[in-house]
Amino acid sequence: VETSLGNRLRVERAKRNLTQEALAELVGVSRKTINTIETGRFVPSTLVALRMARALEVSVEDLFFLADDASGADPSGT
Amino acid sequence: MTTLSERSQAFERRRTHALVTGAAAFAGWQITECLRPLAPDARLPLALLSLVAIAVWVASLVRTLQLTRTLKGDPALSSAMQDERVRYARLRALALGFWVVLLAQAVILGVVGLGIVVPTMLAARLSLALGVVAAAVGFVAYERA
Repeated sequence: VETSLGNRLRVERAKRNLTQEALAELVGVSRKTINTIETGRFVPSTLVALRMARALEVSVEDLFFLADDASGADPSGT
Repeated sequence: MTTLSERSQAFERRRTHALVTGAAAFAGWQITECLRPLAPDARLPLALLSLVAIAVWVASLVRTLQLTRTLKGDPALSSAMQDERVRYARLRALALGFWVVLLAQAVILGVVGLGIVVPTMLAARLSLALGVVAAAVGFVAYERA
């Protein structure tokens, strides 16, 4: 079964009132990189995923999940 | 003091400008050099155009070096402007340049196979120019995507 990487980055970022620029600065990447990860156009490395999780004070599993290509569903329903 | 986002945007603009200008100048230099033996009457203007293209290309190289120095003095900007997405775009652009050179060589080989004489210098200049332009333009496109 083909799977892709889903994420709840936008939701977690919004909870903390962080802009893409602010999160980018915390993680040490560009705003464009945050944007492409949020929209699923770029899959981050483990290192960047861990840094994002740390910056947002959540676990990596709270941020990223394996999504079935057909549904693209977020398992938490958020 | 400007924000990191503002500095990043400004850096990106300068990097794109240096890359596109450099690639265009390099292509211009190679094309004028290819045309010189084919147009004996226009050798002088072509030589002048070639010199201008070389000067612009060297200037864009110097500009790129200056941009690299800017990054050394600003760790936050360096981290943002050379993050893994940019490195991945660079890798894809290099691969694109490599495939374009291979394709150009295959086309030239096909042309020679048809019995058409292609001077070695012309073949080398064309494949080199196409590879450099493809890699530079490819980087700009992948980086923006």
